[in-house]
Amino acid sequence: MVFSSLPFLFRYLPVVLLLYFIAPRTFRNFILFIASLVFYAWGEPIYVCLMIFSTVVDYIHGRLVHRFKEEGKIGKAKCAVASSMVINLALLGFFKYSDFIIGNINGLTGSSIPLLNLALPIGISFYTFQTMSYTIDIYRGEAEVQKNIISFGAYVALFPQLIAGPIVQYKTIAKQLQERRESFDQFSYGVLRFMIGLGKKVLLANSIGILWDQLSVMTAPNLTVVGAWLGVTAFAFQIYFDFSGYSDMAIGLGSMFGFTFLENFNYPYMSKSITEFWRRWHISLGSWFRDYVYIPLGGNRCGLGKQIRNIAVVWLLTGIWHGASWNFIAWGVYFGVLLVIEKFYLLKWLKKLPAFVSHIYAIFFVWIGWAIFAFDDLGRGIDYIRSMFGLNGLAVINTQTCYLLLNYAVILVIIIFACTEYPKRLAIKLFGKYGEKQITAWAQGVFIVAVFIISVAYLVDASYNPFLYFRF
Amino acid sequence: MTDKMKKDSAIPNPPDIDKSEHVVEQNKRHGMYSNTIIFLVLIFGLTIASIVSKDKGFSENENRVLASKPTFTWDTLLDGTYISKYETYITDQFVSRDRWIGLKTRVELALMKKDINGVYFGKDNYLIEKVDVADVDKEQVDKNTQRLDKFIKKYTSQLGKDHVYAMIVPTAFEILSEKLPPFATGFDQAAYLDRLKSVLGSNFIDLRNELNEHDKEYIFYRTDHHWTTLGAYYAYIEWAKTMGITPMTKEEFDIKIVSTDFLGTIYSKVNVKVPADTMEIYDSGFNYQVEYNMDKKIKDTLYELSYLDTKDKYSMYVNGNNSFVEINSENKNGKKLLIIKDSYAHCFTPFAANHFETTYLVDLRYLNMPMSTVIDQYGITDVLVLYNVNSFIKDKNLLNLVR
Repeated sequence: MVFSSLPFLFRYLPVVLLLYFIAPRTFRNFILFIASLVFYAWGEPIYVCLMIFSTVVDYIHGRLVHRFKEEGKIGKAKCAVASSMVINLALLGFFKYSDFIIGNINGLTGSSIPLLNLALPIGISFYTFQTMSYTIDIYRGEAEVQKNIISFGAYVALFPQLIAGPIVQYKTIAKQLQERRESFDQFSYGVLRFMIGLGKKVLLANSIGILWDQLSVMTAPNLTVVGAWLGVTAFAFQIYFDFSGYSDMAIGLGSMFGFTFLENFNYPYMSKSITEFWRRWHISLGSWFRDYVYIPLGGNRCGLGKQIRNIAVVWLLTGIWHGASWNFIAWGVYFGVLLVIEKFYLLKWLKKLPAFVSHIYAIFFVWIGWAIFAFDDLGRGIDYIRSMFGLNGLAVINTQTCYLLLNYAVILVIIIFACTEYPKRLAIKLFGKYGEKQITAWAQGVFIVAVFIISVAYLVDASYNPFLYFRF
Repeated sequence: MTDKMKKDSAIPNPPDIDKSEHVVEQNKRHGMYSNTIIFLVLIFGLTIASIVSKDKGFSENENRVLASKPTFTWDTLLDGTYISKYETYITDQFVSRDRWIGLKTRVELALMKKDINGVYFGKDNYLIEKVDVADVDKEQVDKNTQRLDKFIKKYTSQLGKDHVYAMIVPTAFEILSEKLPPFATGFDQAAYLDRLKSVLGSNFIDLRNELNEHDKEYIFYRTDHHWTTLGAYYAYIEWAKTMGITPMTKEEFDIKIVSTDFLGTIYSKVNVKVPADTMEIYDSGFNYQVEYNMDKKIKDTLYELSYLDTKDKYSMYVNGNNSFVEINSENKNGKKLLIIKDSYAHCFTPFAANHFETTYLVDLRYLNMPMSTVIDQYGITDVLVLYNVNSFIKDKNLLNLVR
């Protein structure tokens, strides 16, 4: 199930809220666990077993690691961690990458091993990373072992963050699993956050996504240089509002149930360098790779050569994590290279440049990145980038491009404004940080409720409502 | 992790996000309470309303059958079809569905979108159907063109050069192009009609000049994809001239307004309030015997006025879409006309029928019979292929034309 759908909003959510809040506190994790299984099984009636399997495996491994550590058998504890990693990565590898590997073997050796054509279990990349973090955190002593399998199951399957993140590390919500206290304040904040996220996804991401869908399939003579840039701009905004909208909804739903998740996005398109961009984009994934790959590999402590190797490993993995296809690997490598160049040369220059120049610099390279990211077929992606630079003999602009520019002008202005910090600053100025300016608070209320109602209208007339993370 | 590592710039770090925002308990957020209450009222209220409200079968507005509640089986649950059908069911049967769609359209118009759900919002309240170039299947277009060409060639040699014509009608998109929003694009009808002209030669009736001459008049509905009876009348003039028949003048008809509240198919795509269309009947005063689908029930009129009480008002012309219609007139000249058509022919037929003893209407979308059989069996003397461009290029049922 996805949040931005009528069955979720007008069947699932009311029922779950009702059951959760009439239940005594001790049953609430159980209700969340069952509700989350239903949420997952809604779209994946078979693969829900895989998630339950993963949950049980990591629960047992967590207990084992804990016991071995208590008994002082560090070697055995290490083995248990390794075993958990192997099982998790094997599941992820099998379901996500086997066809990619087979395809490449076939391509290289001329063999014809049949593809498995497995459907990717939704959210597998997210929940395997979460369960791995659990075992590792226990080994490191950064989290307490979870003895209650229901609570652990509630953590793994927790529906707000199940299918599209943020990747919640166990240690950040371990306490909340046992001791959280739902409050009306937090619930209200959650509702607000959820409605904002829904609006971002349904009103902004979907609207601009249609423009990208139109432009991405165009070829000469319909495509133009301006059109190609308009297209990649549309994609950049679509993926941002889609993804950050989902994170907002996840954080909002979590908040309704008394959880506090870490933020996942921080106005990434305000960045003035690629380094800054990656501190603001999909923060939970970056943190995960930092905590569980980069630092364990030695981080920056073992000399320049190893540091560059570690950076390379992280970015290769970041690329592959986004999908089993060469363009994602190229995308990861592209950013890895840019980050290394920035780290050793560019950053000091960028700091001296006027803000708008470094801002344009960052946007330019992020946009090129999205062109690589957007096409599964690397060849088509490169062709598209060539089009952006007029290397395909395209016209600069034509009637159709003018029409699209005119047709999306207002939406683009709104979207550009919406991906900056200014709306928030404006809201704080007008309504006060906690809505304490009573006189204007109603205006915010009207605005947010209007966003929600209009989102529902868009969902009822749902000709276009894609789910972008089925590959992740 | 140490502070030293946190500074490591090639690896992303969580930004310093103001934590105080999440520690909600300490702060009062009165402003948000009203949102929360409204949100809860909405999700619970609409859920209950949606469950309680009676399911609709046919949506007049959308002119389609809405999804009904799927029947549960374990097989369909496990293969995922039950869930996807259930989701369509909830969306289709959502309470006040039409109003929600209308709200969406209004928002998009406020955002100055020029086309919504495949509809251009043109000048003078014209809603004009948009056919995206990307949605046109070039192979289908070629196939249909070849089939039409083959058909015309075959029957011009069999029935005579002046007895077989194709009239592929440009739509409002082409004729009323100055009403479109600036830079609007779509499937290039002019280029396609030029192509038909070069392929079919004098057996193709090109209506562009005739319709363009009258483009200030009310020749296309504002809310429907059809032409008006007046538009069909001008086509009739052109067709009659080509056929060597003397067309009747407007003065010879008793022109009656039968509806002033027609909201057609394009309106249904956007569901936003626009002025309704007016429908006219050009009554020649002649009598007819009309039989639909060989059901042996002879009607004495070309119009089924009962449709005017429904949403689907355009179906009042020759009873809407039927696979086979036979019309016998008072004009006992022994000539038999076959019109192979889409719904553009429905308001055209009353004009043509006056000039033939019998007129047959065949809709290949519903009739699965080779045209050679029809032409031989009924002793057809004249043939007219009448489609609008948009439906002709997309039609997948033209095989029977050449069988």
